[in-house]
Amino acid sequence: MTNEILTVPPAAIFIVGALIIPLFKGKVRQAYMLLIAVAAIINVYFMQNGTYWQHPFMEYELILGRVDLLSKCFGYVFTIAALAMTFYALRVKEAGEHVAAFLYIGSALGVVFAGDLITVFIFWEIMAWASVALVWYRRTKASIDAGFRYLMVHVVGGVLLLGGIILYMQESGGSIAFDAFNYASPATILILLGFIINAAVPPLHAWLPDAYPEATITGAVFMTAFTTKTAVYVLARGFAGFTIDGFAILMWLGAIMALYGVVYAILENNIRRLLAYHIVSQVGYMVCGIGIAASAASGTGTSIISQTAIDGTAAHAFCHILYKGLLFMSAGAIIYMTGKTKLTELGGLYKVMPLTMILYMIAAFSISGVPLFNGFTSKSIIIHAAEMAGNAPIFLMLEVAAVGTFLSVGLKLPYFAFFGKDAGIKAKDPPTNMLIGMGIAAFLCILLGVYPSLLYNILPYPAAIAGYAPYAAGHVIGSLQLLLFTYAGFLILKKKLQPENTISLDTDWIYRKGSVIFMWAVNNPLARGTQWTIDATLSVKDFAVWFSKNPAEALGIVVDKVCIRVLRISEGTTTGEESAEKTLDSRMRAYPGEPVRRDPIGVSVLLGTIFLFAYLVIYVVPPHLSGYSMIGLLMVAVAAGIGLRVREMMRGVAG
Amino acid sequence: MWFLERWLENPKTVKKLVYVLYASLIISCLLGFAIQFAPPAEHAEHTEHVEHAEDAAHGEHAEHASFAFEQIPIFGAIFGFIVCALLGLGSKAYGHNVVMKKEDYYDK
Repeated sequence: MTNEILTVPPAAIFIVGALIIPLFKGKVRQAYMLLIAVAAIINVYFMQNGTYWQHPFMEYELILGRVDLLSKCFGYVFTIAALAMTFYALRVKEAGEHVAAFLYIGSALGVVFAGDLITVFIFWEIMAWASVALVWYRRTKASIDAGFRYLMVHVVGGVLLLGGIILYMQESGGSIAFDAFNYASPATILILLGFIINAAVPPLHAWLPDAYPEATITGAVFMTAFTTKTAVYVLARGFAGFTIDGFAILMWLGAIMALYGVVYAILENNIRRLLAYHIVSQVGYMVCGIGIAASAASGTGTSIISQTAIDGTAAHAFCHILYKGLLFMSAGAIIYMTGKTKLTELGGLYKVMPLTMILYMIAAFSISGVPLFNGFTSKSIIIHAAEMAGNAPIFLMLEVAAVGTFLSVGLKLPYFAFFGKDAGIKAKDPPTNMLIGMGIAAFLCILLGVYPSLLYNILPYPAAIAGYAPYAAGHVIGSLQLLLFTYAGFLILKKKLQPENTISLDTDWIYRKGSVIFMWAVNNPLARGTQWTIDATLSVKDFAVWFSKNPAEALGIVVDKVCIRVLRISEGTTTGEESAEKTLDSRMRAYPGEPVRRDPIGVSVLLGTIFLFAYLVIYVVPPHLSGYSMIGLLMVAVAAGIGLRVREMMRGVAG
Repeated sequence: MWFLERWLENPKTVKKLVYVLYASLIISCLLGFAIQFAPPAEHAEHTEHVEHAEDAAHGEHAEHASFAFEQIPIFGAIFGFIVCALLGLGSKAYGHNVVMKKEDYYDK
């Protein structure tokens, strides 16, 4: 039916499209960018399930099109989010920023549709480099520093991933297939580490709340959608059955992650950093969902739980991209219109930015899981999967995180930014293009909340989710109780929860303060050690140069120096020593003097005879002596020579 | 939005809003009891329908689909309130004692 429709790799649309952006200006550029985003959505819609777009690369086949329900689900939300975010970013003047954003989106789509590990790695790296540009375009010192830290972490992650891929190729006899890794080995663990760095799993998460709040206003919006969610996709693809000796590590990491982000968000004062910690928290739900799938898969015949958990993960990633994008767009609008980033400086904005407030609250209700918003219909699937697996600790941890999410994003941030004490800020709602981008995301948040089946139909396992009813009466009432009583709790604790003008230390302390210690070690012991080696080598060279100018005279000087020292130690200052020193001084001043000695022929003959005799002795005697006794003899000879010379000096006949 | 402003700046409406909150807290708890102990006819039909659907989909796993503590009619309310308090105060205590620093901490 749709056979005739030509589709191309969606990554190519954005990456090739990105390169042409600088050729256009003004309205034409805006129209062109929207056209690309729309074309990408249509393209994904018409892509057939299957494996295609294979390209030979060395002795391997790169697969750019592995299309199935899972990759298509992510493909849809990536392209839809790209459209909304492109609207939001339309007025950015800098062509380079648009190019970076499109390269970033394109490479994220490349990872999603990649069928082999080499393709994943290539797009993985493009993603890291394109996204760091979105941080650097802010052009503040803080953003440049944060960008370098961001890049450092992602380069390390990329190297781990590459190492894992190479080990995996060894292990599997040259296979680069990107399928489920259901066993723990050095290769799969390295690949997992590469993936969870991008998923921002604590303690490897600190790059996210460090860099996102320093990115440009529109850059941060793009970044919320793609890096962590491609990581969720590759984890769902590769590690949905991964256990270490039956222990589903991702389930616990995910649940801890969900709580970790919540705790730090409560402490945060910077609005975008608060929201960034809630990316960590929400991605925690998804990682946990993948872990639940793995834990259920390790049993027997319980695949319906695994399938539900993966459905929940995909659904939550889909919804998360929409509402988190909207949250960052709203926060970006506040920063753009007021120039302020801190809750302690904001307040009473509902009077001047009412539309922003309404759009923000739609996203906040979505992330908090308020019924009729999309978070309610997606987050609950993961929690439901925990129920099905009978895992009460995980269920409770995820519910605690849900309370914390509503507390920070649904109550604290809007209360202190939009309501609360009026900071008397003069501002207005952002420009229309930004409002359109926000409106698209808000519309989808509500649409998927009211008609969840639209989303459920495109999930990877539609059969598993078919019987799930998010709007069961008990579930709705339970959720309402949870949220209303959290609200009551917030009103009571409002004073205690007031934002404070501080920052919170996180694991990036290790490389931010650790780097100070590192730099000290480099500047002191290491640098000194290096300098000493250089000095020592140079002095050996200098000596060799000096010595070779007149070896015979030089040897005499060296011997005399040693003799004078011996004399001084044994006798103290004597007249002999003084005169010897004077003679030595004059010899050193005259050095190198005349290197060629004009001696009669008889002296040369004598020296030659002595040399030959010595040679004969060395040739005849050593086979009968051990190495030590040779050294001993040599030392005796040297000592005797020095002794004779010292005696000469004492008599005052030296020189 | 001037009407919202005038409305919210009025202490009387704020007071009314607080009453609305109290009412909704109580109603949500009552609803919890309502579906637990006395399922009205239309509710029963609805939940039954849902359960059938779940049975069909999840087979033998349907009985695991909720924990005993979730059967408490006001579980959500108690949980939400206590967790909100513990999380808020606990996080702030952790922050004040361990991780919260002055903003120029990293610049020194």
